[in-house]
Amino acid sequence: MKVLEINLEPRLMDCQIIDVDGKRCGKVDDLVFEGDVGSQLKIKSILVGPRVWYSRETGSLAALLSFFIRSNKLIEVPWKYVVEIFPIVKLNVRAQELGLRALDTKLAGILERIPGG
Amino acid sequence: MNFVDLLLGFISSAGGFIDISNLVFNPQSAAKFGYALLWPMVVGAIGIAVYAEMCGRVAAIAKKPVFDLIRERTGFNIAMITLIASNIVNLLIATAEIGGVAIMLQLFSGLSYRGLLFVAFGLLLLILWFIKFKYLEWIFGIMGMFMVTFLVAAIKLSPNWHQVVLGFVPSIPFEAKTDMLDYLYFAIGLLGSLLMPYQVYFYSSGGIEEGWKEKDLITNKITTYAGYALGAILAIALSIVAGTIFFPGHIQPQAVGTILLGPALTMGKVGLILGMIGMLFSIGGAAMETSLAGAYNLSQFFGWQWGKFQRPSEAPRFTLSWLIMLIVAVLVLLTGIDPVKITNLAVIFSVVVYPLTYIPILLVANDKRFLGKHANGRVTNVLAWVYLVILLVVAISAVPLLILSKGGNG
Repeated sequence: MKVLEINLEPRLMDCQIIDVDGKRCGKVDDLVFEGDVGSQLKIKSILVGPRVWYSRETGSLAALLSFFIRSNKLIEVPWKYVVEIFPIVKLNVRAQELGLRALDTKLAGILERIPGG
Repeated sequence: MNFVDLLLGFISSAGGFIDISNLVFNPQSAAKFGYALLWPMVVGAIGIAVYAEMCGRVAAIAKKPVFDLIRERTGFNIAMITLIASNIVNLLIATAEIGGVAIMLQLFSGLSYRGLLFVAFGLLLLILWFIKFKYLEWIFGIMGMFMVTFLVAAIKLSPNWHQVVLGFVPSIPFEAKTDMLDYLYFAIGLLGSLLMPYQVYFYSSGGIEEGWKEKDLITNKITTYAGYALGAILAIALSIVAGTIFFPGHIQPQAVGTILLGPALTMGKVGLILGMIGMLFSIGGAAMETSLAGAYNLSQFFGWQWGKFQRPSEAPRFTLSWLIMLIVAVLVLLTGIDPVKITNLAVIFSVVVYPLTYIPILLVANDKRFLGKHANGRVTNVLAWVYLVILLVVAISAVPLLILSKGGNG
């Protein structure tokens, strides 16, 4: 079997993602490609979330991660929302519209009730 | 370039240079070996200045803090291991620093240590919750400059300056094998206390917090080289004070506050109080820095919103991270564990994290795609690579030396 090596320049994997408001909303945890054999391969979407972490991990570290982080969340960010890829991945849409920063929104509601929060 | 910002940056870096690790390792090493271990502080100060300057430059030009670099350069797996190791060390140091704050408050008030742990926690919580990054740095940095009291004490104690100068040259002032192990253990501990990774995590994140740009590169250079040089002089002063007072009588200081004997002997009550203020704010500033460093690392690894330039609710997971660091640290201290013992362990174990922290910084600071014309020059590169070799040697030998020398008590 032929192994296909893809060198993404500049590097995309593990890059910070920020939304249209400049809010940090995750990392490029993985990429989804589309394209048939013999045709040009294109990036379809960016994957963000804990489910990808387990697949990237192996052995005891994977077990440790899955023990502490129970979430199985996975968010697919369509490539059409990406407007810049270097040095940071910028989106032209708000994070909440894609389901990113959902936990932040919940926690912010609690912290806002505390004076100075 | 704003002169006031430049001055405040310089003072903050000098005043914020000392933490509990210097207040533990310097007196212990000087009490045992006199002035013979001044050289590791020069080596350590140059090393941290070289790497912090690179971090600041990367933050200003590429807008990337250290843990972004670690994950991008080493990938998810190694970065995760680095995250776990570095945050265990951050937590250990934060615990030691909060314990140190409680000890200083006890010296001021005479109240119970356990009760003052809650006071220390409450004060740090209020400060971190309400005060923005820039003012945090200024308050602790400026008040930390009261550590100059120890420099005055060192001069007033009239040490043997010839011996002091000889201390800047690595030498072998021992005969027995156990002394050699202790000497190497303290040399590595002193180096470790100046090269603590939390300093670069905090410094680079601070550069992003303050929105550094190309024009701030000069501030970055002065803050790191001049500010850290003054900070190192203060650290050396601690060793001179301890070497002059404790070494001749073979007295081994065990408590954090013992070094205050220097200002007290030379300047009386005023010196004692000024020294205590300096120590309180140095240790308090480091408690704040280490708690934030843990939160910065987590947030930057996972890509969460972070920063002290905004309200706590605007970066909720970052806020909860430093809050949990503070809570866990106080819970550990409530078990009755001695902050000095935690400091010894934390410094030695932090050394193990060195390569994983410093290599990605060097790689990016060399990368013209990120930094363009601001990528490392030849001199910086030579220095950085020399230090990387030193860091690797230190990282490999730290834990074996801790065991063989029984923590410097071999």
